[in-house]
Amino acid sequence: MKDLVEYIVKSIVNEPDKVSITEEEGENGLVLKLTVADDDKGRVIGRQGRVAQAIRTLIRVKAAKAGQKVSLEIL
Amino acid sequence: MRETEVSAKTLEEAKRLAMDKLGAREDELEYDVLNEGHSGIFGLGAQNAAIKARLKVDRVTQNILTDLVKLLDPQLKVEMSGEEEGRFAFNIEGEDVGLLIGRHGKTLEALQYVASLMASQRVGESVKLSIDINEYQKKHFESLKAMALEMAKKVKLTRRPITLRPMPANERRLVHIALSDSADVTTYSIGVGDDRRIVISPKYTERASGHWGNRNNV
Repeated sequence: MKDLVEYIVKSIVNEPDKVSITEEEGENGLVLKLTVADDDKGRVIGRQGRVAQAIRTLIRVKAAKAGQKVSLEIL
Repeated sequence: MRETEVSAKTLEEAKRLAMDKLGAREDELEYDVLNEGHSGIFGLGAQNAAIKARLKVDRVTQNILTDLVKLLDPQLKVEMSGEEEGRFAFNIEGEDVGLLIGRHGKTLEALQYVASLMASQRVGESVKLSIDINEYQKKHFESLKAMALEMAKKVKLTRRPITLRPMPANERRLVHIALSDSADVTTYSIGVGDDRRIVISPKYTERASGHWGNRNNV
């Protein structure tokens, strides 16, 4: 799951080296915590959260295939 | 578009340098040879090879989409089906693709959006693409068109406008185009954002015009 998010996020930011993702097992399944460079935050969230929304939609596909519950937090 | 001029002892080396500089894979590099270069005699009169290189945008986009799709579901296959109006068209083939399409194609839309962002960032200019899955879009568009014509018939008979369900921009565009030649009805859109929908209205009726606010097409 992490590799999917990492691949997407690193490809849309200006500073891929500053992308970090940690996985945590929470009450409601897997939680991915994403941090990026301050200047890249807008890029991964997007206007009206459109980018973040699209990334979450794709995560849901992979999670459903794996029978998992996964959520993404952008810190 | 990102373009770079590099020179090195040999053509091969120049290609490698250009690939590094552009972050390109071998199949993503396109170049013109500015100087073939030659080694000279005992190093005398030696000339460096020089090339002007750039990214092959279609190939870059295809590679990105292929990698992305593989991460979602390894059994899926991506093929480029063409290019029109500066938009690359791909078809994804595979089994069990309902999830990938999503409700009203929402997931497919997300995939398209993310892939185009990734490709645009990579090549440094806006890359547009459209993705079809097992030709779902093609069939979906055909049925949308049929629905639009059906509704237009109804509007003509009843002489009352019909408001369709909210649709994304590409679908509304299709409906507008499908009915643009109609002698009996006219179309416009109302609402904003996710709630934007098309009204099919009979032509030449005073009642059907004037009080619906914003009616820009699409």
